[in-house]
Amino acid sequence: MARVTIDSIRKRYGETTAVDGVSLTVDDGEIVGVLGPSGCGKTTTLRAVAGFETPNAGTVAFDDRDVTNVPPENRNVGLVFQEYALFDNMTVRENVAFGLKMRGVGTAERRDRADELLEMLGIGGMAARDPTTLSGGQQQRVGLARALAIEPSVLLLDEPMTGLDAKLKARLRDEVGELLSALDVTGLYVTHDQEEAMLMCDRIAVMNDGRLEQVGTPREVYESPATEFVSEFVSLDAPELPFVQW
Amino acid sequence: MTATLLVVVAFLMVPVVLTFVGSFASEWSGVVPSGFVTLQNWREVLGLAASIGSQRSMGWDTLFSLGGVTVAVPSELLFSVGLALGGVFINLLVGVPIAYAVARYEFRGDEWVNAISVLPLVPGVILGVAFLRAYPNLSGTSFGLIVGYSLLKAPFMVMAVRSEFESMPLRRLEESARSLGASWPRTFLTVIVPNARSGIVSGAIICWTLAAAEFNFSYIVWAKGTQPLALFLQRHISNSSFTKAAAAVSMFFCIIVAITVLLQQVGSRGFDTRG
Repeated sequence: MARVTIDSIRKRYGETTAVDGVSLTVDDGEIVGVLGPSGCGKTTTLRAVAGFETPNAGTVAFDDRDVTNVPPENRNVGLVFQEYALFDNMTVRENVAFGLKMRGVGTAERRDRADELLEMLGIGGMAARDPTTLSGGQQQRVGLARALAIEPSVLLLDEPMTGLDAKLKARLRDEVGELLSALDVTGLYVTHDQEEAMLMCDRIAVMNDGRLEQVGTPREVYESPATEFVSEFVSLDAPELPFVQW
Repeated sequence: MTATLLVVVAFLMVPVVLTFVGSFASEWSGVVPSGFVTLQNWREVLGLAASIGSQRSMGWDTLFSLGGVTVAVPSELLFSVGLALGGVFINLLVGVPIAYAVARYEFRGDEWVNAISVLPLVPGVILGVAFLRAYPNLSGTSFGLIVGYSLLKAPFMVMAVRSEFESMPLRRLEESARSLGASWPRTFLTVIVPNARSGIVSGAIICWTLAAAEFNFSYIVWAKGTQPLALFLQRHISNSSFTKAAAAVSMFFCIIVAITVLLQQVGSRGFDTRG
């Protein structure tokens, strides 16, 4: 894992500015939530870290290595999407082992590491299955295992729980949260769900209209919002946040 | 509901079944054929019987001889099956990337590419005449027929594959594979194409079937030598008795079923990257 430094990146599409001078540092082993309404530039920021967008200005660095112009396949980032995006032409195990295969790891070792990860995520018995036969929650675990298999410098999660039902979401949130902190994963967690961000992330960056409004611990953001937008967005429909666990 | 479905299926199937049954009859003057069972019609259609007039041989060539048993194949027939397959092959090489580009990227003029790839939906007569004018050297050649078939049927490939691409999270799949360390060509060949296999297979089947049955273009462009399937079929229908026409149609039907099964098999195995 690595420290991720986003330094005043700016991304423009024609006339519209999607990201306008965002700077954010994710420390090694830290999960930072990027929270904001749709169209605020949070996904563009994530894609710039992954390497699918080259910012018009600013830099992205992993530890001390500037990766701004490094293509995605050479960045060593793990990606988890809302849509799972599993490879349907492969079994669950092959999905998880895909990244290792690209790195030239041998068949036996790939298999062992994939099975180990699946076991850890509680879907050890599904290794030989076709991913399309799995439930949404199981598919998302496969997606997570696939991203973790390459031991990424940073794990990028783009609305990973959106689309799952509330009960499953609560369970997965706890399990995945524990797993990520146990593995000491450096992560960027993009979501529009303030409750999810507060429960899963060490710090939260609230974005609006391409700019960072506030960066702080969930408690800071909730108790002393820096701007009116933050106060409105964070407290919008979460009056009974379970603060007891802090 | 079920009854309606059964009636519809029966209504559609009866002519096919009747034709198939009729191909083994020696007489067919009323609604129901009579005089079973004879293989004479099939023999004549396949060019195994002594030929008269327009019934040319189908070019039976010896495939191999083993201890007095000689196995021969109708090489001309295989050749004309191959003509349509050649068209499908070109469509795969050209149609899949076009479908991918239109489904995946937004670029200047993407709707024009889309429109142009559907443009050859013009009737075969029009393309045939235009083709002869533009490329007189290609008239009557197998290559001309293959290129023509691929042009005429490309839209079906593009449409089938594009809708398959659009039904999957194409961009996410590509980004997942890239982030896991696969280069773009590798992503395209080992993830994108295999994930779209069902669309590619159905596109190939539609293209082949339509190319094999394409009469208008074949009629205009074909001059001599091996006859395309559609012309072969037409010759047997217009110059023959009912029963022989039935045999020709049934044979065509059998070939279509065989090629469909073949393409399905190649489709499900050929894309299997497990191992």
